[in-house]
Amino acid sequence: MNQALTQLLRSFILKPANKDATDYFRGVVKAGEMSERVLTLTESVIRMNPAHYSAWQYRYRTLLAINAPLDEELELMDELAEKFLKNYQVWHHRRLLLQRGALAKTPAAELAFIARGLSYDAKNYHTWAYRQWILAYFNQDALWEGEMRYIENMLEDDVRNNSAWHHRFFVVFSNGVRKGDEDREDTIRREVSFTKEKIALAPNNASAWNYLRGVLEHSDTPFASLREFVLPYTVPAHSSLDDVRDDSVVDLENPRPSPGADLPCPAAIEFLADIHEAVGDLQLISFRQLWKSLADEHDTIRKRYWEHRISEAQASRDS
Amino acid sequence: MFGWIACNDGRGGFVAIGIPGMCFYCLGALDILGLLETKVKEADREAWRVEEVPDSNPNGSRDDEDRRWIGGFRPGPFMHVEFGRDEATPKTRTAGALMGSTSTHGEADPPHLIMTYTALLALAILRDDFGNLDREGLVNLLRTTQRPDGSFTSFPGQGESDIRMVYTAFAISAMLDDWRGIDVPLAVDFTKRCMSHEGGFGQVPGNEAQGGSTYCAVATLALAPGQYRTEATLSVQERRRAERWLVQQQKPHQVFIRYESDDSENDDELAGSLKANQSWGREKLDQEVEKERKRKEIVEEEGGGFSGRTEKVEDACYSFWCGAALRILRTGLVGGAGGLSSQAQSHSRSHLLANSSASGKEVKQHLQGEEMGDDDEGDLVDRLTHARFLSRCQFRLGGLAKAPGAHPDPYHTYLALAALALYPPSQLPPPHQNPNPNQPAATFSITDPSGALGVYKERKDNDGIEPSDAELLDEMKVEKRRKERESWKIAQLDPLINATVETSRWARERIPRSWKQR
Repeated sequence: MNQALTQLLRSFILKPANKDATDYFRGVVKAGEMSERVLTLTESVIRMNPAHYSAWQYRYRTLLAINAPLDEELELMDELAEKFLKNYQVWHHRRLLLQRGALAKTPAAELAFIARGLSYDAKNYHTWAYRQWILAYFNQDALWEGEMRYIENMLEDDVRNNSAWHHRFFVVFSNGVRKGDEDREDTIRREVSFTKEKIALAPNNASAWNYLRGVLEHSDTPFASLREFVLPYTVPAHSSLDDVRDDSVVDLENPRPSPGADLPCPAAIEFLADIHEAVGDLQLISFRQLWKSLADEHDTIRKRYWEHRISEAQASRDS
Repeated sequence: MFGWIACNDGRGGFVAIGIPGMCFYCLGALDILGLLETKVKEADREAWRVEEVPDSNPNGSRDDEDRRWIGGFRPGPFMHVEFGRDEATPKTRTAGALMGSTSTHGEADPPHLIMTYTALLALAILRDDFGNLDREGLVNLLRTTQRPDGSFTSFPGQGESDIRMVYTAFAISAMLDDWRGIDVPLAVDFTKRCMSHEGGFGQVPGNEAQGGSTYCAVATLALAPGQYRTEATLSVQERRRAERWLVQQQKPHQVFIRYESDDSENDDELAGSLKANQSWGREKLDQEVEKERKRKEIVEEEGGGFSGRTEKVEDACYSFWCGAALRILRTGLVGGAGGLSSQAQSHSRSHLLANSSASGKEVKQHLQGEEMGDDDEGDLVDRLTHARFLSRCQFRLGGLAKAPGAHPDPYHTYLALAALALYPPSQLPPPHQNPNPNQPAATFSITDPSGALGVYKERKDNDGIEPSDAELLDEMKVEKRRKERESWKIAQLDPLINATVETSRWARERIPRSWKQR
């Protein structure tokens, strides 16, 4: 195995095709040449090994030195980004080009390019990170404007796309206030109702629950304000709660779980327990019971975690 | 995580990992299994070690240039370009072949932070004496790569920058026991800003929470030297949110039964086809139908592993990234009170006090993970289900893959083993009792999933075997397991720098300047 490893490493190091191109590359760099043909050479080095960061860096410096048209370079990057979707350098190079003025007049085109990429790989981390960078870097109302509709479409396709949920938080809360969102209370209400609807659609969706918690924590809204909404999700379907409620009355504020939903929903039980914990000592028994039910029945993989919550609450009460 | 450079690519192969990275994963796996000495000849280990950057620079450019001298490691000699000096000597060409250590600071030949970190670890695993390590060069590399926002670029110049490089910068400084290369408060501020609304950390502020970046962030905070403890501490709220997000990534255990043939014949059809050949009575026929059905049964399991992001599928590498981050949080090293049991907690607090008084010995101990033993008291991972997921990730010819049925690679193999080292399954099923139930099993079989990891398979194995055979088989199994248990020891792991405790100790002893001066 040791010999095999050494062989493997050596064979890679000396792989002929690689060697030729990198030999030329070394020669070019040594001579300090920056020319059109350096662009051709670095392109072939990069195609063989897109993680060759020195080739990327030298290429970038050459582009600037010979004043190459950056929009043309960006076209090449369109192809390479698609080919090496999960490579760091390809996205980083793109950023450098944009920071140098490529696409300065039409950054919206970049959002369209990203959307194309996400239509193939809806959760690609680099692509979403790049979208966030574009929005924050150009910071133009016109760019931000389309984001909510885009996110809603993505969530229509897959309500469990956490990248889309995260992007929503990024757009609404993490980067200043969007045009039309100036009334923050109104914005929070809108976000809470949006999330409630998505939870009603698919209650066991950690992305939606995490978003809901994020919005409430960000705005210091007590979880208790959602008690009414959460309750029906904490009990088995067709439980005693149904007897006291009339399903024909549609409560828009508190959408009920969609028929056939898998209930009770552990995330809802957790949420209810958090409400009770926040209310304080009097309710101690109640949230301990809820955690216990998660530990023993509804979320047994996290048994240790729920037991830890119980003992942590106990410790903070004792201290 | 560092394998993101390539492993996630699927097209880049390990070409893109860089050679130190590859070495690190391969050697690290052997190190965890304690097999380095028995499976690898000393001569080979010697050959794998690298000639480091000569400390007293033979080409003498340290003083004659006003640019700062930068040391470090590149992904490999394929990028090797000597700037303004002669070609590498034959010695450095061969000896440096594997690691690509660099003594140049040419702009097209920069050392890489992640490669430098993995190369240092790989050399520590090989028990290199670090006699020629250019320590000042490493400090300068960090100085040159830190950005005004506190993060680090992957190499000097226009490299990308994110939390991975912040972590490697901290790990390098911790191994050097020299923090002059880093503006710590600035880097800590960057790190904390990476926390997302979910409670995990993203790669840069504003990005989605991800297991790998969460590990990097949490380990960075824990590695921060004692005098910056206040800055590097999470609030109770933050610690709880991070913990919640991390445990949420462990997937619930589920079992599915499906049948070999997709058209899933019903019992009547089965009975019909069986009856055609035999003249069985009703009772016998029913039995045979049942047997036939069992034979066609394919049981599929999922769960126990960790996903890297919310609502994504489990992947063996996140067993380490999420598992190690959780372990660090649970030791109370990054504050937010409330880790472990109250007793362990007060121990941890007094430990932190010792840290802030900058007692070198204490810091060292804490890095070596000596108090992070695999005592499962207060740990939040369902170990058995977790270990069983990883056992399903084993490829039949060896190695572990990211998921059952996928192709194995060094990256997932190493990280899965590292995760098992942190969370060895402690609930061993009978008849192979754990001699001391208070002491979690230090050894278990990973070659045979029907051993410690496969309570499940047992039921199937025994199907249709006569009692005497079964007994015999049982004895053989017990004996086989006992032997395996003896031969497979999993080392203790230091979750902060991601190496075995022994290797971590070696690195922390030999990499600092103080060792060299001895």
